[in-house]
Amino acid sequence: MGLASVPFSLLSAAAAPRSGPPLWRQLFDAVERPLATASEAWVQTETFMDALAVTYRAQRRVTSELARAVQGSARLWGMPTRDDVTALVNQVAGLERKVRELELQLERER
Amino acid sequence: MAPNLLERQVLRARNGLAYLAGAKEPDVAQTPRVLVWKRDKARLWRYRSEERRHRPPVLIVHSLVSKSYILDLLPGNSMIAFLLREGFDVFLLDWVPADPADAENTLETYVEHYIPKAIAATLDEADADGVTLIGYCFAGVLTLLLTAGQRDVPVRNLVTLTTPCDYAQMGFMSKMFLPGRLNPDDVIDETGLVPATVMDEGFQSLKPTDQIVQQVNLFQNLWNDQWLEGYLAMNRWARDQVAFPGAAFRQTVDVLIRRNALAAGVVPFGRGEVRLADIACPYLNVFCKHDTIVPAPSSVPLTALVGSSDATELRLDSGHVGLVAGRQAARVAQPQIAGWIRGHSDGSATGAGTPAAARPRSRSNGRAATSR
Repeated sequence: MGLASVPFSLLSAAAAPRSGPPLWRQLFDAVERPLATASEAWVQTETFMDALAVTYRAQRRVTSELARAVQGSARLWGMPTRDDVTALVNQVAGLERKVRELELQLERER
Repeated sequence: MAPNLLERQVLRARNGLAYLAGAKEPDVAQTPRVLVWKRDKARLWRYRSEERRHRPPVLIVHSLVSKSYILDLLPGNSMIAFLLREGFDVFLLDWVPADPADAENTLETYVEHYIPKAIAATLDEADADGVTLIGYCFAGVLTLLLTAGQRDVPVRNLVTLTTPCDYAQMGFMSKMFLPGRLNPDDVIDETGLVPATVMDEGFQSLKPTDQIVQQVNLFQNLWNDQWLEGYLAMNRWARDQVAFPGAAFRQTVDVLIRRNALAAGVVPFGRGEVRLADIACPYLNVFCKHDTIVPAPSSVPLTALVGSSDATELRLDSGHVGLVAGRQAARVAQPQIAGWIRGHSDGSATGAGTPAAARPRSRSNGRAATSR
């Protein structure tokens, strides 16, 4: 059946703006809202926070061990590693802090 | 007239393509302003206005944990533009996002160094002898510590917006750092900063389904240009977190979270301590009933802890951001905040009458506004 054979009244009914959210949105909300309420409450529980703290620390440890292993092999080839770049960044940051201190001292002495 | 279903699909397709191509990036922070002072990462802006009717000037100190364009999001949705229209001389103390050079900044760096200098620059620029100081979110803590600890700084009025005080009421964000869980150094990186991604993950954790809901909202309203512009601006800000200086974070965890010193009213600070009871200037404590980041019970105690005999609280029926941006902000929050400031400024004769917020022991329309 072609579009031309669909009664005009049906087409305009489908095209008319609806008040209130569409059906798909109502279905989504019906599922999401109880889930949101439950998950937001769960996040605030002691159990969740304890578990998250342990997971976070474990994840950080694994990541740093992996990074160390990767950097070890990079060093074998004489390549600069992330630690080297970080050390340089921190040195530059230290210099900037020193300049700030000197500026302050100058300002006080003026 | 609202477009029909077919027209919506066409608009949705057009906007969807533009969104995916990145062509719909909103132009935020458009209110004209001039940089009047800067030091390291601190920037003091003065907003242009032909209608400065009230004194003293208003200095807004922005939080260290987000970007300041939330205060001047879009034309028609800007707290700063609202205050300018109300006749205030508006300054903004903003922070360029912290980098490793700022890793050793403590709370004292901001409270005893940058903010007093910015106030001095504001007084010079506006030729004034005092300021109305507004601290947004965490900057509220900084402005409280400053006003309580440095009596020689000419703060004529103090306003804190959604400022945490009782960290035991802060829920997830502070409980994660109680002893036995995370230590500050668990989230501070090798450059000495709490990375922006960690801040973002923390905020996202509060509402685990929010990202999906936002995407569904986007799809549903993609056809609506006006909605889309607001959504994109707000969504950009919500994910646009900044790094936090590690030294200030260690101090926040130790003093504010674990010792809950603000709630006790006495904060170990600098070489001594700061007492909130020493705050004697008029004070407005604004907080929001539906705030998930700084829950209302965390902010409530401030009104009673300050020593001022003119301490008022304004409880709004919105969320953390709804206070400064959005329809609720323009209709309810900003007029009441502006009304309180006007009532505590010179040249008030040109303004409206006493606002609900400034009425002693009054409650208005479900939005409690009480004074003690």
